[in-house]
Amino acid sequence: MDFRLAIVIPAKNEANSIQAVIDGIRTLSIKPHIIVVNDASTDCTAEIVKKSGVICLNHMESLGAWQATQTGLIYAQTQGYTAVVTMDADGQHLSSEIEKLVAVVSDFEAPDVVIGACQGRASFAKKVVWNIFRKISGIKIGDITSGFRLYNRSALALLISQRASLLEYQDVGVLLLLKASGLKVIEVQVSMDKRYDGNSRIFSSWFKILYYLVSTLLISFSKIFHKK
Amino acid sequence: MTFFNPQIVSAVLALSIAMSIFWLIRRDYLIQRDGIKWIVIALGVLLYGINPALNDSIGNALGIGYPPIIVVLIALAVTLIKLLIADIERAKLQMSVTRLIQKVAILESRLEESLASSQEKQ
Repeated sequence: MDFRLAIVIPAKNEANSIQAVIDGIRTLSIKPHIIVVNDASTDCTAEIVKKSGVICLNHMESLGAWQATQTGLIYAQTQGYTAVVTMDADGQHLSSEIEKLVAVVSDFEAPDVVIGACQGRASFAKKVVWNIFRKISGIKIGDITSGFRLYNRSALALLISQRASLLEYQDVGVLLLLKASGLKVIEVQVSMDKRYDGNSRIFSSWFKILYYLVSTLLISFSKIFHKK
Repeated sequence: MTFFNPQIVSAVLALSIAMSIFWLIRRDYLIQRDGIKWIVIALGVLLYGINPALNDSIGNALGIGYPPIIVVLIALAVTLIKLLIADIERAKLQMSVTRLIQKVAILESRLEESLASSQEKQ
């Protein structure tokens, strides 16, 4: 089967950065197809994406970053793409690093998921929280919140299922689902633009931080012994 | 002697509730599955309202020192179970809405693509 790569970018009010992200991907030699999922933006994100000529999927209501990513994954799966890279629309993930993720899946014992990891971007407090989540959930991934990931067809089939629709965030919940299904997940060290914080919406207020911590702890505990 | 006989008051209340439920079912304000459940509830309310002494009999049989608490306990338990079921149903509905929004987004994009390609052919 030919290798067909799609880049899925969930975007909500990213008019300032989305064009630069698209232009960056277009400079790559592998020429992937770009799918932007506009999560009910109230700015001109959708217009910019349409003008740039890439595929634009519009949510009529905001569903959140993970559900927007899932829309892109469903589209990619139905269009027969063999692999999908997900990345943020704010410019934190560098398009020049996509080839590092792709290079891994050309190996003989290719993994199902490749995570572009950059633990250096996390603050001390975040590292402590990540460690707690890792201990409780049993996930062996260093950068659990990175949205810069490559999924193959097996991972796609799992992540477009209804089970995955109930997840609120793409980090621990998705990783636990992948782990429970026995898929192979590896990490590749990548550079990220540290001017941006991919979780800024999650950590935009103390209440949201608390909600995120409690809900992630709950999902980590509830899935400890959960198998397929 | 009190002006109102408590049995008449509770019976009238129960009858009003039961009649309202029957009326709502008759007018199709409730779906069939809920209709059956509410008819059972209406009959229970009617039975209890007309004969409140039933409470004392049940209380004595179960060894409950203060029988009026039975109604409160049952009401609380039913409310809690109902809230739990409502949350489960809400989760299912939320998932359906999410999947629908996702599908609409994909179909809309495909429609635009096919319209654009048919315009190009013309």
